[in-house]
Amino acid sequence: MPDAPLLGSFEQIVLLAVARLGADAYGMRVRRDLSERTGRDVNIGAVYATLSRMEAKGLVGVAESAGGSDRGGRMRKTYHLLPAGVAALRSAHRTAAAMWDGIDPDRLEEYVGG
Amino acid sequence: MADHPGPFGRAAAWWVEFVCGRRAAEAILGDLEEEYRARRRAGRPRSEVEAWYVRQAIGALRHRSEWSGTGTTGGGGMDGWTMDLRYAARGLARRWTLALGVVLTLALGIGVNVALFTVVDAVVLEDLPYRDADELVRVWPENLFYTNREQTRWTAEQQTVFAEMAGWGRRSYTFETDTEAEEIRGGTVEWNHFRMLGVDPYLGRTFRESDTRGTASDILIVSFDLWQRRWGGDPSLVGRDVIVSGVPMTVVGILPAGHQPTEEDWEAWSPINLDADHWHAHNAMAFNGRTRAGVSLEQAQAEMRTLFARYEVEVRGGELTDEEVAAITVIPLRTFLTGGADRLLLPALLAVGLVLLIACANLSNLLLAHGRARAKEMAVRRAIGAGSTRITRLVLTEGMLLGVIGGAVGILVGAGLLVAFRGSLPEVLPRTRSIAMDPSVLAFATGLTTVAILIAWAVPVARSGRVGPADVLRATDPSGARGGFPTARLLVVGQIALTVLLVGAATLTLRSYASLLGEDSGFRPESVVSFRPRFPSGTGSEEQVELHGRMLDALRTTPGVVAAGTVSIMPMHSGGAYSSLRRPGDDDDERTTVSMRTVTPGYFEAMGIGLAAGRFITIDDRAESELSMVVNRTVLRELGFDERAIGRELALGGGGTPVRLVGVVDDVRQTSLAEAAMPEIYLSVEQLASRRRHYAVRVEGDPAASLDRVAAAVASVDPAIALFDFGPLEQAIGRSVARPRFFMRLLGFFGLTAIALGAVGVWGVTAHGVRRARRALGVRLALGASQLDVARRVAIEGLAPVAAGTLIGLGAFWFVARLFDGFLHAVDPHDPVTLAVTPLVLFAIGILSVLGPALRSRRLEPARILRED
Repeated sequence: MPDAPLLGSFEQIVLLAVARLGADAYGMRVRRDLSERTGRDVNIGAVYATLSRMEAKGLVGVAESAGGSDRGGRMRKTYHLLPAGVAALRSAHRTAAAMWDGIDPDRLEEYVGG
Repeated sequence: MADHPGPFGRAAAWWVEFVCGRRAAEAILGDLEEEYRARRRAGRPRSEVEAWYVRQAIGALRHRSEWSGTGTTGGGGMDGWTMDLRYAARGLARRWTLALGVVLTLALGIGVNVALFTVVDAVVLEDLPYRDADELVRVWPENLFYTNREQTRWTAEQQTVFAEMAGWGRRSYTFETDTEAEEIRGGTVEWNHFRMLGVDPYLGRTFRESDTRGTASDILIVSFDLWQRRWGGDPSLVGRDVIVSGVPMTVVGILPAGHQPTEEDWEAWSPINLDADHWHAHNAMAFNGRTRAGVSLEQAQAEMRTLFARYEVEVRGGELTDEEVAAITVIPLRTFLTGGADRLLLPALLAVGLVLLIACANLSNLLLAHGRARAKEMAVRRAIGAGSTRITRLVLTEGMLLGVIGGAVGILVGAGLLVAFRGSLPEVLPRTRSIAMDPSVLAFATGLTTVAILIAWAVPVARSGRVGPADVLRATDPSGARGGFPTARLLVVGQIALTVLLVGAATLTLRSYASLLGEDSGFRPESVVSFRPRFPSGTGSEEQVELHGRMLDALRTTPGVVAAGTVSIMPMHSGGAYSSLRRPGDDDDERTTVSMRTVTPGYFEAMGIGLAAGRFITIDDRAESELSMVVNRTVLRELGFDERAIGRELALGGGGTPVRLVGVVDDVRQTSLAEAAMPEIYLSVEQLASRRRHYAVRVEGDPAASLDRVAAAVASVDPAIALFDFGPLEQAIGRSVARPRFFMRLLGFFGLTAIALGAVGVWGVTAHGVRRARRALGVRLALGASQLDVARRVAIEGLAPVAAGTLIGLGAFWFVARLFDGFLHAVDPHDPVTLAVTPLVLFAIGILSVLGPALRSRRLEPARILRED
């Protein structure tokens, strides 16, 4: 397998949100999805910073559309997954699964050492 | 529902757009607004949603460099420079304290320069408002005594060097109405005066040849300002009669605004009357001329000297001495009107230039220190592929932006300074009555700002090109970087050296001013009230003499009045009458030119002029008795007499009138404190009548408190008598030192500015040095050095550049000081006090500046510092 880029943990969850939201994946929507699912209050700037970084790495693509009156006429940037993003997510998932193998998340306390 | 963010939200949005650019922030702000509405629709309270909006918007700025940086599609169509400009603007908005410091420093430096340039522009550079002004000259016989109306006409017929010449004399005009009177200075000029200058009237006409005979010469041309001030710009004034000293005169013309009179303070003109037996028929005239093409000043002067000498021989039957011939000069009208101001302004220009240089050094230092803090950012840029041109361009763009803002604020500062100095400028400099900034000043400010930026930014730019990752590593150099930033220290050395020059100059002028004020004027003006009376029009000469007598009587019997008397011309006032004095039997060459004043008994007592020998003028010196004379010590010296000469008879004037020497008084500085007394004689007004009489009234205590009583005493004689120049005599002396005082204040202001800038520079470099060397200092402390040792070390390192700069500055001052020679009164340019005080001032400032950083260094905690990296 060619080297898929390694994802940071925040990159990973943002990328997952983009995947899940599909055509609706723009900054604020991603932020809301993230908040609802993880309970973390994330700053919109952090979301955009991550999206921009992943765009630069070629993991996501971006499309601009004209904004409606709801947005004060400001354009909207909608992100979508690119093949490299898919590969990165798959690789992350595989890595995680491989590393979780043999570990029961419900019995993690047993691993606490003295 | 049109629900959108409130003022706080909008302000936050504006700020985000400003810092990041509208385009880069668009998507985020759109998202935020959308969510804002969604939350409001969901029924959340407005304040809560607004607070959330602001938090998100401002919080987004923390991640700005990633989402708005290069690599996104942002920038759509902007070229490189616009990008740089935006980037610079945002950068400066973030580092606003630095930006403010830079802008203020620059504005101060540029402001003082702009203000002074405006003055120089108005006084020296601006064209005179005459046709071909460079052809105009002033023929100036130093002794006005020798020129008159007839000689002017004779000269005009004989001369070959002027295309046209026009005589003039001074005249004062008292404009009267039923209720008030105003005295205006002006001239009486030959009819072709304005034609020669090439000046057209704003309204009406100028003079004609037919205006010179009989009552046809009772006409008047007034300046635009006088017209506005006195008649409210009423155009019907032209053709109307006004009463001048009791005589109706018809106003025939009004000069254009901005007309430059040939004598600085003239506001009214009348034509010389060729019929009247006016005093200009006999003396007190000079003339201006327009040289023919190809005639040099030297040629014109040579011919004028020849003609004056010839006139003396052919018409007067006398002879001019070589000295008198040499005193006849022809100077360009421009030189006369700028009155040596260029010599006054040159050192001032030099001084503000230095202030700007010091400001630039400060800027360089600020930017260097700041550049070091940014080294990491620069290194990262370089690492991701930004070339050194790109980095240089960024630094330059920031500089340009700051320059534009600093320059603009500087112009405002300059305008403010002009307003502050406007009142005192005309007292000391010609042509500054209607001073204003014009396009040439703006061009100057622009040029100056560019130069300032280039100077201030040269060092940081040169260094930024060399910043690489290695430098960034060295920024936390564990060795402690002793002497680690020589550039900044060198700048401080230069800055201190320049400050020494300014402080030295300021100290010199202060010393000169003090010695001027310490000069003995020869009289005691402290408790003297002075004035000139003006009698109601139609008061005859004999009646005036009688009124003077009654006024003096009334004043002398007024409670609180110690003595009262009159003099033809009060000291520190303009004007003069001259004669000559010789021993009987001596030939003409031995005569001494003397200034002549007529006085009443009581004048010397009122002025506090000391008697050296003999007696004062008394009431016994009557018209019918022998002509008596009191002289000053200088006369005695020049004639080679001592006090035993009292009682001798001397010959006065060309006719050799016998006059008895009855007393000797102390020398009085008549024209200004700076000018030594000239030979002077005093005669009784009874024996030599004078229409012009200044009153000197010595009172007990504060003269200002006695003004009412003095005025009441005069009014008791005749309430219609008006008082001119009425006030404490000390004010008049104050005016005579206006120029040195102005000069001293100006240089003092520049000196203080330089000290402030210098102190900031020393402080900045020392404080920065402590920050940089804190690790080394921490190690020292850990190894057992005492806190005092550390503080001392910091102080010494901070003071080293001050010491070096002071030495260099003193060396430079030694050479530059000679420039001040002409402006100093009784102070050597290499004045030892100045040379001693200046370094002391600089060192005091240096110690104060390093005190803060040195004391703070004592509080360094070695354990914490060593943990930091």
